[in-house]
Amino acid sequence: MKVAIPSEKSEMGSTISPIFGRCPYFMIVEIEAGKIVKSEAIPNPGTTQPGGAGMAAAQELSKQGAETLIATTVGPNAAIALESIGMEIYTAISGTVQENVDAFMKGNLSRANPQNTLSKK
Amino acid sequence: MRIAVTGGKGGTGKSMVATALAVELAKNHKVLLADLDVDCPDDHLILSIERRKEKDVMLEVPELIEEKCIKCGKCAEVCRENAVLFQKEKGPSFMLEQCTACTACMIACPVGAIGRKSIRAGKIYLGSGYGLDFISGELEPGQKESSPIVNATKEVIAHKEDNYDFIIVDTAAGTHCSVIAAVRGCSVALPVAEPTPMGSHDLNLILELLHELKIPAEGVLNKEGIGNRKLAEDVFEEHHVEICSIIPYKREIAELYSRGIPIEDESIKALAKKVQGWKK
Repeated sequence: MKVAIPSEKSEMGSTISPIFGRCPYFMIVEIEAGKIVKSEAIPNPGTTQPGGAGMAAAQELSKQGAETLIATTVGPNAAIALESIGMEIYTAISGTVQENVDAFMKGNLSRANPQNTLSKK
Repeated sequence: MRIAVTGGKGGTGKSMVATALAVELAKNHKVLLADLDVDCPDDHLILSIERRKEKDVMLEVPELIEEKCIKCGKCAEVCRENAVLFQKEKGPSFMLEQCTACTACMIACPVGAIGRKSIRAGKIYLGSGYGLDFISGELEPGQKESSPIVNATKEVIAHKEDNYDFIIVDTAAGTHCSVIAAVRGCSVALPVAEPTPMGSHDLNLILELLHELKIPAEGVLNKEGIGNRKLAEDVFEEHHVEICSIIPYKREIAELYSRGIPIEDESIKALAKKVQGWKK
């Protein structure tokens, strides 16, 4: 399975980004049989969009084949987009990308529905 | 002659100037007052004009014909608003909240799998009063884009243009697409400024926009007497824009305005006289 995590920098040790639509990178982590087999940093196309950044970001994740997202917050447009592509979302903990993936693999992250991860208005 | 009354900052007095100028000019000329502040058109309230609906503004948004879709993803590729989400096996999802009805997806689809759904995006109203004719465009609340309503209203104006000596266009505040659409086609713009720091900051933006659009500007300094007029004067000077009218800050003006009665101040009469001179 492929898990996406918004990231400040292009490596697993980077701090997780608290935003979604315009986070600098997504770390795409491939997990098989409880082990990380591959990890890749993808620049987020949402950062260059004048509008609809969340949609562009969601589209990119879909293109990458990610079916799971670990996120702190997503904006309202992104929430709609992620819901429509059936993305499974888990609530991130503060820390690094690596720490979040570890917590996810241990089953310590809670499932969120897109609306619950809306940015605070 | 089509004249845009604009200004950048909200509350500088665009609608006050547009309505008062239109009424004054209408005493001796055929005037059409066009309220193109389609997000919140107020001119009919300022002049207590009863509007009647002329037509709806319909936009065409995409509606997928599933059976025809070959899941090629072309629609998502051409969409500039990121309003089409495409998944390889599932095909496109149209996020109508983001759609600006440009119809690019419908044109790009190689198999004609995207149909058109008509939605009402706004209304156009007509009216008359104080010797002038009136038209206003109004955006349907919740619709994403104002420009299509501005442009639809302009199309109606184009059909009547030759009937009038002056068309006074009241634009929205700001420098966004709907202001650009409203100002385009005008032979001169009257940026209305107020003598305050925020007013001057925004005045700079609107003057830059008018310069970009190559529309000559003649400045109006409103609410003179409060704040610091030099702030606005300096900005006009930097942009080589003359101030053609100074309107004083008067309690009576605010009172009449709030009661829906047109302003007949000396400064407005003087402005109207200047405008009449431009037509020749």
